[in-house]
Amino acid sequence: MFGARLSNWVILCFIGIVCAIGTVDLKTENALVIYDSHFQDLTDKSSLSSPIKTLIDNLESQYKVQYHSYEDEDIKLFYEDSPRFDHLVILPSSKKVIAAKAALSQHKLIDYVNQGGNVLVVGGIEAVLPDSTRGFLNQLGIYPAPKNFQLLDHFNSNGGDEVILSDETNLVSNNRVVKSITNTNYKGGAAIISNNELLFPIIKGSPTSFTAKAGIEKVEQDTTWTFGSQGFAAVGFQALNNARLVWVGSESLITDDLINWTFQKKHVLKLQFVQHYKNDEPENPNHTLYRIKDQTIYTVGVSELSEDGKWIPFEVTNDEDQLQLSFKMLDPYQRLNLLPLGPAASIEGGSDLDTYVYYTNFTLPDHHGMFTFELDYKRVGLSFLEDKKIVTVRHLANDEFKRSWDITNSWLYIASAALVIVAWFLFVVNYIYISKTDDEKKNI
Amino acid sequence: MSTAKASPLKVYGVNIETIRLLLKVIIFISIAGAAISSRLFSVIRFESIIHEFDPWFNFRATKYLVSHSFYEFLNWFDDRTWYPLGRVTGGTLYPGLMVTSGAIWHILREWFSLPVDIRNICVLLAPAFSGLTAISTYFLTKEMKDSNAGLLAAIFMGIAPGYISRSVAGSYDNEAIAITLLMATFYFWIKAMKIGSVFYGTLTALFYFYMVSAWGGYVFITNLIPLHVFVLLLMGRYTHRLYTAYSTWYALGTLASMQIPFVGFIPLRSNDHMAALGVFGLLQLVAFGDYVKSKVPTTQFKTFLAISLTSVILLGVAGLVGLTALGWIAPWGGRFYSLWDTNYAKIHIPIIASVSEHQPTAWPAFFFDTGMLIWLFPAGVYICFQEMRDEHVFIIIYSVLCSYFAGVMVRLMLTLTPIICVTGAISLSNLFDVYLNIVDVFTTKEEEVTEKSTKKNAKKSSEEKKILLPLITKLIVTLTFAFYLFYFVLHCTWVTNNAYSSPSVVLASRNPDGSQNIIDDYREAYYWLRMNTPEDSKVLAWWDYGYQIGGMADRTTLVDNNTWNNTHIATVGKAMSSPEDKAYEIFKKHDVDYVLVIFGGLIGFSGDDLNKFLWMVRISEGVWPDEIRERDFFTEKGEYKLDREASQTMKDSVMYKLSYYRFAELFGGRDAPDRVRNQQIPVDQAPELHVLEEAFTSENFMVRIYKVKDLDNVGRDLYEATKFENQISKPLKRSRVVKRPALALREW
Repeated sequence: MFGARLSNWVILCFIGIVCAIGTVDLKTENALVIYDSHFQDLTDKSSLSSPIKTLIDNLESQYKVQYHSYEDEDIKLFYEDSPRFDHLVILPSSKKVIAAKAALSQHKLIDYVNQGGNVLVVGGIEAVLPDSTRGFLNQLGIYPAPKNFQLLDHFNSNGGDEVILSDETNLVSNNRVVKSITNTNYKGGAAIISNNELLFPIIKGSPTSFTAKAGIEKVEQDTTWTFGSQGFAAVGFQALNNARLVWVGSESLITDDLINWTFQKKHVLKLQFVQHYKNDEPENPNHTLYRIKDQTIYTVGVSELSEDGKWIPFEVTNDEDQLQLSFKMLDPYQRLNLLPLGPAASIEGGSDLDTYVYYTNFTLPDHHGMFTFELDYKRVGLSFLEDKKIVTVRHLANDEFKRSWDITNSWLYIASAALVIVAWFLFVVNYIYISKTDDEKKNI
Repeated sequence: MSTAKASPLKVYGVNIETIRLLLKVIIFISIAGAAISSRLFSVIRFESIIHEFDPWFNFRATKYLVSHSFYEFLNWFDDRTWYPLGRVTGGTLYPGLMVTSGAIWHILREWFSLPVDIRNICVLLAPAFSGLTAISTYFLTKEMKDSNAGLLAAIFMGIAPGYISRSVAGSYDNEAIAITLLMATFYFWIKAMKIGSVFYGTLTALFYFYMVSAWGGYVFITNLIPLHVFVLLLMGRYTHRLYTAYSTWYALGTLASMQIPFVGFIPLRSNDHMAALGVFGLLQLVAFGDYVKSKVPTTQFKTFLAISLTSVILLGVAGLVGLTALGWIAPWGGRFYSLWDTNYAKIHIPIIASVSEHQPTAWPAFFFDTGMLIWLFPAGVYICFQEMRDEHVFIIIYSVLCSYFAGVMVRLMLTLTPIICVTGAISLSNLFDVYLNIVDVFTTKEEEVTEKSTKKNAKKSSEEKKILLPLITKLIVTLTFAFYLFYFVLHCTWVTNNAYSSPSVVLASRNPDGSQNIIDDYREAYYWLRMNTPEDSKVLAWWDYGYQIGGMADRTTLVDNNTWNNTHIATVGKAMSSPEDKAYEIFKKHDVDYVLVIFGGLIGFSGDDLNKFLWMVRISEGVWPDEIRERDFFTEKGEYKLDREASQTMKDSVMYKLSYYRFAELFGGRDAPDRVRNQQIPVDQAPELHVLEEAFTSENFMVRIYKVKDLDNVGRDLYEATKFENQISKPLKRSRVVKRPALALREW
């Protein structure tokens, strides 16, 4: 019964929740590609290698793309303070020093990510990273090997200097960005990464791999860049504001999957609504005042962006990825898995079932204070979902306690109080009317 | 008086008693006028503003009361303070003050159609009640001696600085009405005890209830009245009147006091209240003994008395110890212990010791607060000893107890002042009875019959001489005391003007040319908070400023002057005394958005946070002795230094950094002088901030507000992020060779 009521209600009552990007006009987003004509001449599309062609096709089909060579001086990431592009592709450069130094400085790049821009950085063996890009990547905790360094693995090679990648040893499971490695012959750089929690490896080196300067294949503490599976050929990153970045060691790793993930076309989640209310007051959602031990329902609607740009219900299939609610005041008093309720429409009366509703029903703790309904959902490869709603849980008011006569223990005290009153009354009557006559008699 | 009895005296055909009444009324009006007007200095010199700290809470609560219903006020759960714990405000305050001003507000609005601002009622409540205090003191003193002494006591009470200190306009605190109620309760108690009236006993209980609802200091009455009764019993002065008065007061008063939510069952369970219960029991036994005595022979009664006394004492002591051990009766509170052992609080409860008004009183304060009354006070007590009626015993007990308490804690000067006024008035009035009575000198002849024989003989011999000599003596003494009184008034006015009329929210200083300079940094900063931060921002500041932030800035605070949760205060102390990274954890856990510190180093304001810093350290050390150690904040030599020699812990602490952040920049490359502590703050070791950023600094650097940074968007720690941000102006360091960084192994 409860479920039915809830779902009805969920469908009916989402007033004021705007489904912002129901259908995306795909060409509204801008992309910027920075390239070096020494490696790829984007003005002559026929000369491009197949992964780069994939990239360009992918971009052009979805975004308004601008191309700038590293020699251009008028690259501008920002107009005033807001970014001009939603997506940025940094292709390999042949020079350390670039023309638009100020526009692409590491601070500008960090700023760009902080304002929600997505970045795809492509490395290569012969390519150098411009200082600013390297500095920027280092800030995130990605340390790509310098020029001429190459990922090597003599146990998994095709005889030459190409490494053979395989899904079992090299692909990091559950990375959600790349399902399988399409181009298994790999000739490119590698990076080491810090323990930044927002970073996650996509393709790692095999235990027998290492990264060294091409030609001088000596394994040394100082010159060898990566050792074994601490070296990475592709690394993903998602900032707290959900801006995404991928670094790949070679253009050969570029696939549609990878591009779509980086540029927010895949595994993008959205909280359609977050509501909490007392069980018996569903008409009054997100009221900030509760009373201790109230029965409370917390419910969220989560949508995922589908391939065709529509919001579809996001259903959690495995146990590890469950959504959780913390009801906390300094420490969590409750930490509950949200239970699935089913798909629903996020707008009132909508027929489009675009969100999946989760809920939990629990009793507030017997403790007053300012509590937070906290949903903190951070899974590798998925957009982070975070929501905090602070509510006040008050104590019982003076008239909300049990009345004294409802408590059986009190009957004894009530009875004795009544008895004392009666006895006193009798005493007074006796003293004034009955015993007084005795006194008078005595006096006589 | 004999003349009045014989035939009513008439002046110009009007009854002398009527004239007396008229004079009294005029005198009362003048006294009230003097009492009220001398309390208005602060309003005239500054403005109609709430003072200090606690009044801001009372004011806020009053506003809540007048904008909500009484029951909402009673059940008020305040989610704007003590974040995130909240405070059950309705159940943890004494509502008397707010209800009083709320009632006045409603009456003025609805009965008189006067739309007065609630703030003005709050500001002027204390002066208004001081007039009533003067009247209650009159009645109390009248019971002790006569109406002459009463009038003197009333004017003393009206202008004594010891009382003015807590009742100037704007000092909207519980004490403002509590002293009035104290005097009224005592007056009704004396009256009830004197005539054994149930009616006056009930009135005592009623005012006692009002007092309980207004101030935690009601415990003073709860103990003083039983003590009075107990001493009277020991003196063998048991009467039925005493029995009636005490039983009525105790039974009704205790029941009534339990109606205040904050008090609840304390009167039955706390040791502070056990004396009243014990005396109540004892009085029943004594009454019974008295009854038995009247029925049985003396010898038998003696054995009866001996046996019952020992058994009662044994039972009582055993019961008290047993119940305390079982936890049924709460042991005495910390403030109670610190009354007896002045070092107790310093060792065990730093939070009590950290309050300046809980410090022992310096002896000049007695002269400062009571002027000449302080030396009339022992004389008055002596006179009470001479007469030693039941009510004088009360005065003696009150004097002795309060003299001790006032010596222990500065704030208890307040309860001592009324009794000083009463006894001072008694002694002065005794003096004036003799020396002001010039009628005697001239009327000896007419009333020769009623004069005593010795006097008669002496006067007959040489009349002329004998008239002149007493006249001169009387004149000299009278003039001396007139001068003293005149000087007393001057003293009171001067003290009120100079010491007690500062709102402490607004400070005044003198420019070199003598003109007044108003320092209004507090309000500037609080108003900035109010206008520039989101409404649900949480502000972390030391508890002293909690009420002001709540009242003036209307922002949520973590701790405030209602120091009910020591751990939470210690948490704030810990955040202030820890290095930034540890403090940041606390900030994040408590959702802190802004940190506010008070810094007086620039203008030489000594009541700033760095001077309170050691208390923060001590209080948090009490809770986390492993993490915070007071010793680490001193130099090697054990000095409290903030200059070049300051210890590393001190320099790393958030409080140090927030106080001196960019302070040296004001002095253009020289070491910055801290004018409060007279130390040079090194310019080359200027503190750097990583997890906080400066949001606001007031005109004189007194209030500094910092914003807590968010977590870094790209996952760096804030030290690195800040370092990176600061590089922006510097050119990028170019290195030819890219070096492999030393990273920890990546964990999966």
